[in-house]
Amino acid sequence: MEKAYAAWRAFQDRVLAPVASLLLIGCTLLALLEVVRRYVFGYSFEWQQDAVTFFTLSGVFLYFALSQRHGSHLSVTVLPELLNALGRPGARRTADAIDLAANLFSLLFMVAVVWWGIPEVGDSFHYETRTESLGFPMWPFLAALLAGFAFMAVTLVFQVYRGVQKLRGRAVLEEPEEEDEAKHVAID
Amino acid sequence: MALVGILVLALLLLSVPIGIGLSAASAAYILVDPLLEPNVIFRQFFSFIGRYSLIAIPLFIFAGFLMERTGLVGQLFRFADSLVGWLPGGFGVATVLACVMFGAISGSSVAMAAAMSVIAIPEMRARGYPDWLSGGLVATAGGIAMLIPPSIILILYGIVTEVSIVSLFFAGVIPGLLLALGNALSVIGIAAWLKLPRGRFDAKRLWPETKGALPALGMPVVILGGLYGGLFTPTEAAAAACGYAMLYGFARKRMQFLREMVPTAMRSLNLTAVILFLVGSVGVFQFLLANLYWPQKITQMVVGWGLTPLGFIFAYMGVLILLGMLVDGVAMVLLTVPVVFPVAMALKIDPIQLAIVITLNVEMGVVTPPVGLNLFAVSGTSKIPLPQVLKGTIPFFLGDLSVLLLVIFFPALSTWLPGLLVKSVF
Repeated sequence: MEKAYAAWRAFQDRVLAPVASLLLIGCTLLALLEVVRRYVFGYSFEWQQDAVTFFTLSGVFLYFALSQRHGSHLSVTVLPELLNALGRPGARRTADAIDLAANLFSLLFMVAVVWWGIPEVGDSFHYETRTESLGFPMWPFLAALLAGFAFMAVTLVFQVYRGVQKLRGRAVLEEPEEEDEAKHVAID
Repeated sequence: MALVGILVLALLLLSVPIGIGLSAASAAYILVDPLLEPNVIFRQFFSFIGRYSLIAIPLFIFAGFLMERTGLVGQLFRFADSLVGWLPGGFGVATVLACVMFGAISGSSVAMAAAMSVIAIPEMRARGYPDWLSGGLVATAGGIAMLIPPSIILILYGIVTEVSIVSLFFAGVIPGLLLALGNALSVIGIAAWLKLPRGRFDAKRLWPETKGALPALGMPVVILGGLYGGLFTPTEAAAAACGYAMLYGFARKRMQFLREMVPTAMRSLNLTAVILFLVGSVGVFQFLLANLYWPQKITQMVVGWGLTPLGFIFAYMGVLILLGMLVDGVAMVLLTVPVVFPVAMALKIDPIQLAIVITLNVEMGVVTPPVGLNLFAVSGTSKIPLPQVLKGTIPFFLGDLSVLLLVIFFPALSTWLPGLLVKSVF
């Protein structure tokens, strides 16, 4: 399991994250180019807004799993935090059990959403639905969302395994210390 | 209806991610309704976030992180210090001013509080400021970024309610400046009371610092000027801000900046993924709300209570203050606005004033324990104990509360500027 998790982390860090980043940088440049084209040359691509919207979103979808791995998705953590603050071993175990239950529920739900999403992608491919400008078929972007949810589910599998082992008193699948500031999420 | 509400609350209390909790509650309803297919969850999620206007969020975040990489925060500080450092509590006032300027670039309150605490707190320590004052000031002043455009909270509000984002941006300017003024006056008062040493005005220093900060100060001009002039949509303004930051960064750091671009995009994507996952889930939940006629039922119920608009705003503020203790600002907006907005419209509350009231509440929520993100950001980066930071926020929190009451009782503070400036609605 340790090797599988290391391989999964490597796939996320070396494939998903750079691909998503290049999509964001590319779309930023495209949006910028479009403003220049409109004001300098007086015309624009009718498909540009769709391209910027859906390629950027595809990058974001791929990142759902990385945010899950970093524990960044927003949740109300008052209950486990209160239990941990009590400091008693029993309370800590209850907090770990709550974390595990939350991850298990999230995993089951993400698997269900992936299952429900498959026919949506299939229908889009079959009926050749397109983006608003008609410039792009819609199914690749739906497939990117499906992949994003599926990758999130895979990450949750490892987190559930880690939770079970933690309750059994074993430390496994620890995240390596990262210099990457992406672990720290700042919103608002 | 009650069952769905209980299910959402139970899942959230069990620390299931808020987005999954909302979507799962919707799924539970959809599965028992014979007229609905579960595929609708996937479809709604995709269609709700598949909007061009929403792309302003990742691009503004990217622009903020890019500018941070260029090292402009320090420059803005030196400029602000040369301008107002001679006042009593001058470096505190300079911190507030730098927050206003960086807020016009970043839009992220916690990022700003963390960045500011690294630069401002050691300097304030060196100048004899007590830790509680410097920590409290930076934690509170970080919230100014939420009101000074571009603001992620206001973009989200605009997307959920379909109110013009450009109008919302301009609506945040006066309350944002009032917040800054309140914070500055508080720090001046405290510094005078504590008899903190004052700096001296140095005209010779002002020009070089101004010159150094000019490129950074140009970015808000690009964003707001482009929006005001009708040159850009908010998304294009965000892209222009990114382009500006890329050019500026490349001019300063050359190839090193290019190498930093991909890691910076990764940081932006991590934050964006968190926000958009929640936004998509709210799209699914809104579908459920519409199917259950919740907005209509709640509107009828609240109107039936005979609440005045003012009474409603105060009741809603109470809910937001409680929520602010439990969840983050983005979640506060996305959880409550779809439900309360129709009620507010029925009570004829100005949607722009409502946006600013909500944002001010969120701004206060980031310094309210136990989930006050700015408290943790400042305490974590400066190593000032959390209770000290919390103590320091109290005088500034009272100032923020005063601004909130002003905006409630004088709606023109939020509605006048957009009415004056916004000619076109995107």
